[in-house]
Amino acid sequence: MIPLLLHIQNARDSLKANRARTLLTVTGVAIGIASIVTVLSLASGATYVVAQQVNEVGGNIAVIRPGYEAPSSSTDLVNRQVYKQTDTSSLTKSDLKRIATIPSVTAHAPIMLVRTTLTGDTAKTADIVGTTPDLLMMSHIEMKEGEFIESENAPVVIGAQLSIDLFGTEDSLGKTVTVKDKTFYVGGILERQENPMNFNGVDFDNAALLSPTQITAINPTAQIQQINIQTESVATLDRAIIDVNKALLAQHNNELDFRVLRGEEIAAPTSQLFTVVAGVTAAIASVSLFVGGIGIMNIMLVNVAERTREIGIRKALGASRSDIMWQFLIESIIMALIGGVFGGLLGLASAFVIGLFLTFTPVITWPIVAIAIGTAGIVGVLFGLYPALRAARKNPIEALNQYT
Amino acid sequence: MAKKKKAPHVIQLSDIKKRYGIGDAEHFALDGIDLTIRKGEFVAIMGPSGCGKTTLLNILGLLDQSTDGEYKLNGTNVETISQRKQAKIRSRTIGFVFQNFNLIPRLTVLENVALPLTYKGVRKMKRLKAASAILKTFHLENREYYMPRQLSGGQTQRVAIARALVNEPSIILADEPTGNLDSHASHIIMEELSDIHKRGNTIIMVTHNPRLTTYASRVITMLDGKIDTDTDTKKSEEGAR
Repeated sequence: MIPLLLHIQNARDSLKANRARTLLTVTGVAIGIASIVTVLSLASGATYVVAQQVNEVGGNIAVIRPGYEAPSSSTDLVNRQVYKQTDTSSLTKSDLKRIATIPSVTAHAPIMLVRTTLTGDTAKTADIVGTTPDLLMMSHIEMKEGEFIESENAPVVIGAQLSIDLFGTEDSLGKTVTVKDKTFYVGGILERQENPMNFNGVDFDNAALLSPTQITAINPTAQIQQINIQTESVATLDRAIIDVNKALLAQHNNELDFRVLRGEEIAAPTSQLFTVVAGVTAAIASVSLFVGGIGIMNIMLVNVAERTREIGIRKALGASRSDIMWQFLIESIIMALIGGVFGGLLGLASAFVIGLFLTFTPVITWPIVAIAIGTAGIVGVLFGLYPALRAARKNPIEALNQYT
Repeated sequence: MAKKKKAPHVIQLSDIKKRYGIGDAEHFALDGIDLTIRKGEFVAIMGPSGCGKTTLLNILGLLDQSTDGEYKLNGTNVETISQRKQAKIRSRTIGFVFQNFNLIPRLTVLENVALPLTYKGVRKMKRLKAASAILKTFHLENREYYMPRQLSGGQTQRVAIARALVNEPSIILADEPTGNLDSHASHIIMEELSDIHKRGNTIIMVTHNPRLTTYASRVITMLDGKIDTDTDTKKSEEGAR
């Protein structure tokens, strides 16, 4: 067999000779690859946002959630036994008190959610979050004006968007909000969030914050949906997680109906869901890649038919079957790879354009690049093989006598 | 003559048969060919259409396989070896010249001439240099970057001969090399071939045109798949008498 480089030069020459045809075929593959890259980079962008938030807060944060261990395989996604807001949470106020006594935990804050109607100048249904002052340093929230919850009977803190919905202005400090029969002063307004997705599962722009006591007064069945804990540093986090696990197990009579999550695990449910959705969408997108592949096969069959005589000549001049096979196979692989590269770029571009309308930016990772180029290469081989073998098997005498 | 006898055998055919069809339709395009060709001979094969001369040439060039018989090329039996090895032999020891030239239309003259070297694994720069050098000996150096369609018939066939010679084959097989050319161009081509022959190359040429046999050192006529006359054996028979 002759060296690969010669085949590549050869293929380049013949692809150049049919520029328009090559371009059209490459476009077919590029569109297929582009749609896959778009989907994958958007999906990884979404996962990345959540994971990034955990890291930005310091990495010394763990989250306690009620329910059992998350499913390990994506097929369990439908029947998984995890906590839903309507279920009875396994986390209780006594758990919270117990956590407060653990020395390695330097800060902790519960998240209790109640959805109800708030009335300012106008009425609006929104989430009220019951939490403690520690949340401010453990989350991505910042105060725009006023003060965060400082005590058990603090004034209400509201999100920027909620303030507009209730009072028509972001500057609603000192105004009153009525929830059921209780009235609260607005004591603080939150800075607008960059991204509504976060590991607390709360859209702070559209939420009001109160203390746990206040929220229980509004709705006695309010439950703790998550407890955030923070340690002195990343180094002590492992220790703290063990302590918390031990303490809570004892509290829960050795029933492991809660999970202590850290880092990537916190983002896992989001990322797992996205992986499944992205996988399904990518599978649909790969239909267009398949069509692109058929385009390659089609054009290669035309190439082989058109160049039957050339194949005869080449064989007479000393080309072996494998030389002929590689000549055509490499042509189709090169077309597919060019399609892969352009498709990758096109996919990224379209992902970023779509990202403009979403709350997160797409992320391109090496696996995505590898998938794009790899799939393109496989398409090139798969759809180029049959035409190439047909070319290789041609009888030189018949090929030479064919007029085209 | 004595000098020629000493030259080594390049081609040895014994009882070569080529059968087409089966049963009632069976017929032998070649029906028992015994032929020995020595190095440096210029053999012209003559005969009416359908006598099997092109089939013989295809078998000699390893483009086709005989149904029966033995073919030794440079002393080794080449009938039974693998396709890959046959391709290698075509690449290294055989040069083809066709009636209809068979240049690849989308490659330049230079690239066409360099093509056989590709399958010997020669690098591109070296290939093009060698092709350029051989084109010079045919006085075609100013046609290097022409496309085949821009050449006259005579020029095209000279390019094809240059291509056949570029990898220094031990035999050159020419199938009606002047069949598509006018008499003037034919003359030039035959002069070239005869020149190549004088430089010590072995040439086997199939032709219809009896006038071309004057360039050959040996003339074989075929009839119905068999060798009818052979000037070489005649001479040796005469010599024996």
